[in-house]
Parts: sequence; structure tokens; C-alpha cells
Amino acid sequence: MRNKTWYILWLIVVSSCVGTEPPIEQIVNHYDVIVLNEGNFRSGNASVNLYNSSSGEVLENVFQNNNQGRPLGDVAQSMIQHDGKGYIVVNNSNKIEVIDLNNFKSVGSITGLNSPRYILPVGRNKAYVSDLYQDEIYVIDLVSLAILKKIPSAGWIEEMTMSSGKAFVCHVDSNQVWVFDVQKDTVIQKINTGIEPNSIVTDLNGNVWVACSGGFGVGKPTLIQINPINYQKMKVFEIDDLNKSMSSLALNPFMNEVFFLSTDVFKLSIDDTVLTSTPFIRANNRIFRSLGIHPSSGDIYILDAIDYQQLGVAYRYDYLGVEMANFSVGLIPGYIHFNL
Amino acid sequence: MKKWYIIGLIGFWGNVFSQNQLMDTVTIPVVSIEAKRIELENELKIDSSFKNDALNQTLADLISKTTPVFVKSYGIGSQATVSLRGSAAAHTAVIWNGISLNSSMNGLVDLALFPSFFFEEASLNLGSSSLATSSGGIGGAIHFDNRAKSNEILVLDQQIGSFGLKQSKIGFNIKHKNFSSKTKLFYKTADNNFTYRDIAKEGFPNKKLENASIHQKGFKQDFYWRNNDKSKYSLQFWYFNSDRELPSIYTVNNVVENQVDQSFKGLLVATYYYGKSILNIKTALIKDELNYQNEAANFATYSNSFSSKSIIELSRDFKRKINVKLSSNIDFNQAEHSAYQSKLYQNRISVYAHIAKKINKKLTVQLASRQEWVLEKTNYFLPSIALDYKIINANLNLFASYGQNLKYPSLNDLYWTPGGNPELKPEQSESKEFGVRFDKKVLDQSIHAKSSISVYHATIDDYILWRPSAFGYWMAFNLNTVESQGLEYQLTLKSLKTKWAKSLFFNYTYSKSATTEKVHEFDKSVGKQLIYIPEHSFNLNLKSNYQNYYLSCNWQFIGARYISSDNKIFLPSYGLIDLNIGKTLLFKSNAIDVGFSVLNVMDIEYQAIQWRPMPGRNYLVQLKYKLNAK
Repeated sequence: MRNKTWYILWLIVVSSCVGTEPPIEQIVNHYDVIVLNEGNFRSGNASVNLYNSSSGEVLENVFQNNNQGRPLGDVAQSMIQHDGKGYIVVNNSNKIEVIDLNNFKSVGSITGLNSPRYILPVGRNKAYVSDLYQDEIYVIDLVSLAILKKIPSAGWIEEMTMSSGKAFVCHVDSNQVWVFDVQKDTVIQKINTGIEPNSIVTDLNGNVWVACSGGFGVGKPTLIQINPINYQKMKVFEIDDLNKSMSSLALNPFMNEVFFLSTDVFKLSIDDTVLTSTPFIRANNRIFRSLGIHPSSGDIYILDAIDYQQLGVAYRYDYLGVEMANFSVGLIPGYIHFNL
Repeated sequence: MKKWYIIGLIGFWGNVFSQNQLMDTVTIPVVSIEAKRIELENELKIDSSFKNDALNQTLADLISKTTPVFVKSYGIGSQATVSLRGSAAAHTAVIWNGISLNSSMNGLVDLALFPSFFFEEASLNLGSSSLATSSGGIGGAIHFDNRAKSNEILVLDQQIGSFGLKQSKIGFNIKHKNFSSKTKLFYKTADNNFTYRDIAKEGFPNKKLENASIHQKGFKQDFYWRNNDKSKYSLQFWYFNSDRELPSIYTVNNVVENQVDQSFKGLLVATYYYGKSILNIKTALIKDELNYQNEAANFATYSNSFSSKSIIELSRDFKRKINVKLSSNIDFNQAEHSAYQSKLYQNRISVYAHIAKKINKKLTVQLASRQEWVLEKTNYFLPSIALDYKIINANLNLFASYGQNLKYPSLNDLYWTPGGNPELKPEQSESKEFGVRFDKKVLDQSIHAKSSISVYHATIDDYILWRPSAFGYWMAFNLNTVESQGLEYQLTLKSLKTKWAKSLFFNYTYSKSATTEKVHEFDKSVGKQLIYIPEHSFNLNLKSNYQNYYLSCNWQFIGARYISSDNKIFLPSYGLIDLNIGKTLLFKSNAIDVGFSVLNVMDIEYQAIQWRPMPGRNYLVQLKYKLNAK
């Protein structure tokens, strides 16, 4: 009896540490919507979900499942697609994971970064990477995945866009947009904006749109249209509420309408001279934290992290703002990329 | 079933020692735990022998390995907080000699900063019984106390362990007539550079943990003076400095973070005896500083808090049947942080009264209330009642209690910029408990068996949660109601044979804690277990002494913990076994103790917190010299 009990008790202990089985690889064809889930800061639980906009099917945790169980990292921030590869910026893991978009397997990574935020191709094999803490912009060789050089930036850089062969970057700390000559990698212009510019896009005509959050009640959220040639501010729209924010600029497929988040979703035509105070899509009790617009259908995808401790939800609206569907995503969804 | 289980555990225990040849010789005093509820208090007292065990270096180790409490530890030497009865870390009051040490800034206490060497006794109050010392301990309270009495004149304790661990403890005590002094010095350093399998890297290579070193030093001085039998006084001073590197998680590469905690504590206690009345006056000054640095982000914060806490307590027995206690707490708190717009102050006064009456030989009833004022704000009335019914012939006691408690929002909840919400209401709880305990010498008086089982139910209204606001940043809100229920089972078996002492201590906890209201249209967390609170956990301690040899074994099992509030993601359960063997050599008043410990004997790879590496099997050697009073 004693020996039997002894073995049973030890069996319980040993069984409590059984390893996990290797994940089953997922087939990722036909999934056109990629959702990056940040995961909780310092919890290392960033993930990637896929959504098929035709069938409504969802794939969860694709990166980890297709890379022998290896997690993506800590805080998946943003993503671009370049020459058939995906570049996922993993902010607090200080790296950019490079994947084959046909199977989501890692084909390399860009390391040695500090706190990377966004990546912008500025040439055939050359990209800029913005950073939260580094006070520099990294210049990356997209073939060797090496850091070619660093351009001093004296502060936090967020989103970046190309227009007229120049890079326009949101310089959060100085409340400016900095313009870079991407051949010489030098600053050629600094344009004052509202408080804390964070999101930036280039419209149909090459004009640059910048969203400024206004900081934490410091200034009004501001949307600015900039001429990329003479750097003049063509239009400035303000939201008259210090407690609001502004983020997540996106363009419709024709690139002639600008969408952004300020609690609700707002929309204006690039030719508008007045910003309507009526939301295009009301959040009601939902918490909109990121939006993306499908470049083919024009459907609007919005991410909601619910309580930031459970799997989030993505809402899909058509181009008229009518809700079409919602689907479950990962923990703290934060960025949408469309794989076309 | 229960009988089989107990027999099973005894069998296990018997096997451990019967297979060990070290058991062939002599004896040292029996190590023991007193799982005794003192009168009506739901108190679990931890014997000092556990505290002196080489396996239990900090209050966090002691609590997690010997009580039903779940300790959430971020790793070896890293921050450790507790969850009592499924509540949050800030819902546990940590009390030093009657003085609450919870930070006024975040409500927490990091138990990794309290070496077991600095106190003599530790105990737990579960549920509403914690109200006797302070409010805020919705889940309960952890007490650790100092005592004047000591049989030791000098203690020199040196430990060397894996991963560069070196720990030195020196204690010397002086006693002269009615005066005594206790001095304690503590130093600990460890690299904590253990090897782990990096499951976040391709091929899962072995890596050494970096940036994990720890340097701690502390000093504690106690003076005690007894004036006949009329009064006694004590003065204590405590300084502790902890310099910790904060290691990265698996998926983060080059974050270099460091945290320095520094604390000063002073406590003056005066106790007066007037016939059957006792008057206790306590005044404490507490200063805590925290420096955090993140090199990569070129970011640093500094916080500084100061508290003055006083307690006046009067208690009196009437004919040994009625006990009346009146006490008042007066707290002044002050805090500074770069995220506060200015230096903050918070003053609180509370009055507590209880009357306990022994109705007859079987039934004792206690009625209590605490009135709490947060100055310039509001006040709260917190009643409680407890019953204890003795079934004399069966050696059983039935006990039940009901109580209300509250946890006032921390200064961070109220005033952090951005997101602090000055409109927050206190979290208010209501708890009920029912249990049975058994205490009898069994098997021809050869085993002293104690056992208790209790079930509880508690609700916390106006639960404070931080969540994203419409303004783009996180804010504190009174968002939800949390409902907790569970079961606690404790068993202690002690062999009463003096030559070969054996003892077994077992704690099992079932804890179910969940929110009851949806906070969002798609919220799937309602009714689901709160994150990082295991539903099942237990620990088993086996101790034996034969002549001068000793052997102890700790088995700690932590059940699966959900890490998403919808319970779709979880960390698997794990069980850890620690062993400690040694011999004590006695020469007149001198005792030399040579011990060897193996921690995580089974070399289990586990995650207590998601993606945080934990050490595998590791070792510790202890050499301890004691000079005892003749």
C-alpha cells in the first residue's frame, strides 16, 4: 500500500510537467486580412490572426503555429509587405520578423533595434525604421537585413509615408513632420504640426495627411494636409475637444477619402474644406483602437481589445458604414494589414 | 475517501524517511507548524521552524510553501505578490507588528523584499477576520511579527547556492535584567544567471539568463524594555536596500532594467497593564523609495512615500467570559511620483470595537465593527460577526463568520496622470465563511492530528479596473462586481515520539473568482476565473528529525492559471519539489548546523508568469552557528 501510494504521488508530480505537443502547421492561402495582436506589454504574447474576407474563416496564432511553436514576441506593432515578404515590427522584442507570406514562416529577422515602431520602404532594397527611444532612424538593407546606418532624429518617430520621392515622418516629440531625402538620408524640411503627430498617409494627389493626437489633454486633435513640394499646410482641421484623440489614418481604395479614429470613425473627402462633427461610424460602447480599409472592397475593419485581457474582436463595415460582420482576433489587436 | 487520502499521505511520508539512511541517529527540537485558530480569529500561524528552514528565505517563499496562499512571483528574487481567497494582490493587507505596510501609492507589498530572518513569527488572517487590525484586507491579511524572547545570543548563518547566491545573516542578542536588544544584519547577492531553454528562439537553444542579479542588504535593531509587570516598551528600526536587475522575458532581447528599493521603518510600542486591561500604543514611521531605470529607453522614475501610522488599543477581559477591545488607527500618508501633479497626502482614521462573549462551554460569539474615515471624503461602517461552537466529545469546532470590508483606492488609482480617477469609490466586500476543525491525539496518542476545512463566499462591489478610456489612455474605473468562493483544507499530523520526530503539513485550496457583469458588448469574461489565480493549489511539507539529523521536503503544486480573462489562454500547472537535509552538532551551548538543499528536484521547466524563465534544479549549502543562552 505504501509503495503504491508513493508511486501514485510521484506520477502526479511528473505528469504535472508534461511538455506541450508541437503545433499543427496552418495553410494560409486565401486569407487576405492579417491582424497583428500586440499582446500584453512584457508578456511576450503577440500573435497573428488571419481572416478570409470571402468566406469569413479565421486562423489563429498563425506565426507560432507555423514556426514550430516559437512565439512572435512582445508587442507586434506594425507590418508592411515588400517583394512577397512580410515585415512584422515587434516593438518590445526589438526586432522585425521577416516572413514568407505564402506560409508565414520566418525567413529572417532584423535585429539590433531598440524599440522599433514602423518600417517604410524608401527604395528597391532599402527601408527606414522608426523608433520610440533610439533618437535615430534605422536605414535597413532589405536583402541582407542589416542596419546600414542610423540617421539622427532627436526624438520619438512614429508612422512614415513616401511622397514625391521623399519620406515624411511623424516626429512626435517635436510636434513636427520631418522630411527626408531618401538618397542622401538627410533631413530637408521640418514642418510644424499639432501636438503629437502619430499617423500619416499619402493621398491620390500625393498630398500628405497627418493626424495629431493632441497629447493627453494638451492640445486639440488636429488633422493636417501638407503639400509635399512646397511643404505648406493646405488644410488644418481641429476637433474642439481637449479630451479627444486622433489616430489611425487610412485611405479608401481610390485614395480620395481619409478615415481616422477619434473615439468614433470619421471620414472626409480629400477635397473637403470642413470636417464634419458627425461620426461616420459610431463606437457607442465599443472601443475602437485601430482601423484599416480593404484596398479592393473598401470595407472598413476596426479592432477592439475589449478589456485588454481577453481575445479581442474585429468589426467589418462596408464602405457605407453598415456593419457586415465581426470576428474574434487575438489579445490586444492593434494593426491590420491586407495581403493582396 | 478522505480517510484514504490521509492514509495515502502518511504512506508517502513514511516512505520518504524509511528509504533514507540518514535517519539512523539523533534528534533536534521538533519542527512544527501551528495551524491553530486562536479563539475566533481565522488565524493560520506559521511556526518559526518553517521560517528558519533554508528553503524559506523570504516572506514570499514562506507563505507560498506553507500556507494556502498563492504567491505570484516574477522569478527568482523578483517581485512577489499574493492572492488570498481569489482576490487581487492589493486586497491582501501585510501587517508588521500590527502596522499595515501596504503602499499608499499602489496598495501592494513586494514580499520578496522581506527576509524571513527579520521577523520571528508569521501568520495569516483569512477573510473578514483581518478587520481586527485594518481595513483593506478583503482577501485577508499576512502578519509578521517580532518578539523580545530569544534563546540565542549569536547567530551566524552563511549560505552559498547555485547561480552565484551568497547570503550572510548575523544576529546577536543582548539581555540585561529587564532590557534586551536584538541586532540583525543581512546581506544577499546572486547573479541568477541560470540556464534555460529559450522556447522563443528557433531550435530552442539553451541560454543563460542575463540582467538578473540581485544585491540586498539590511539592518534591523530592536530594543525591548519591561518595567516590572506594569508596562513594557519596544523600539525597532529597520533599513533595507534592494538593488535588482529585472531580467527580460523570453521574447525580449536587450531591455536593461534595474530597480532599487530602499525602505526605512521605525516602530515604537508601549504596552501598559492595568489589572485585566491592556493598553497598547504603537507609532510607526515608514519611508519607502523606489528607483526604476530602463537604460534602452533612457527612462527612469523615482517614487517616494512616507507614512506615519499610530494605533491605540485597549482590551479588557471580564470574568474570562467577555473580552472587549477598542482601538483606533490614525494614518498620515504622503507620496511623490513624477506621474502625480503634486505631492499627495491622504489621511485616514478608523475606530474598531469588538466584544467576544463565551455564552457557554460550547458557544462563543464575537461582534465587531470598524468605522473608517478618509479625511475630507467620507466614512464607512464595517460590521462583522463570528461564531464558534465546540462539539466537545467529537473534538470538533464549528465556526462561521460574516463581515464587511472595504479597500480604499490607492493614490495611483486616484491621481495618476494620466488616468487616475479622483471620483473612484472604495471597493466594498461582503464575506461569509463556514468551517469545521478537528484537533485530537490519535493512534494511541502517538499522533497529534489537526485538520480543518472551510468554505467561503465573498463579493467585491465597485471593483477597480484600469481600462482604455475614450481619451486614448487608460483610466481607473469602478467597473464590476467580483464574486469569489472556495474551499480551504488543512491537515497537520505530528508524531509525538521524541526520538524520531515526524510531521506532515498539507494545505489545499480551491478558489473560484470571477466577474459578474459584462463591461463590453463582446465581453466573454463574465463568470470566468480571474487571470493568474489558480483554481487548485496545494502544498505538502514533510519533516523529520532523527537524533541530530533532519530532513524536510516541500511539494508545491500550482494548478493551471488562465492568462486571458475569457479563459481561452492558460499556463499549464506545475509541481515543484524541494528537499533539505542536514545535521546539527551540539557542543554545550553551541550549535553548528550543516544543511544541503535541492530546489526544484525534478528539474521542472515551468512558467509562473507567461514567458518568464524560471530556474531548474538548483542547490544550496548552509552553514549556521548558534550560541544559545545557558
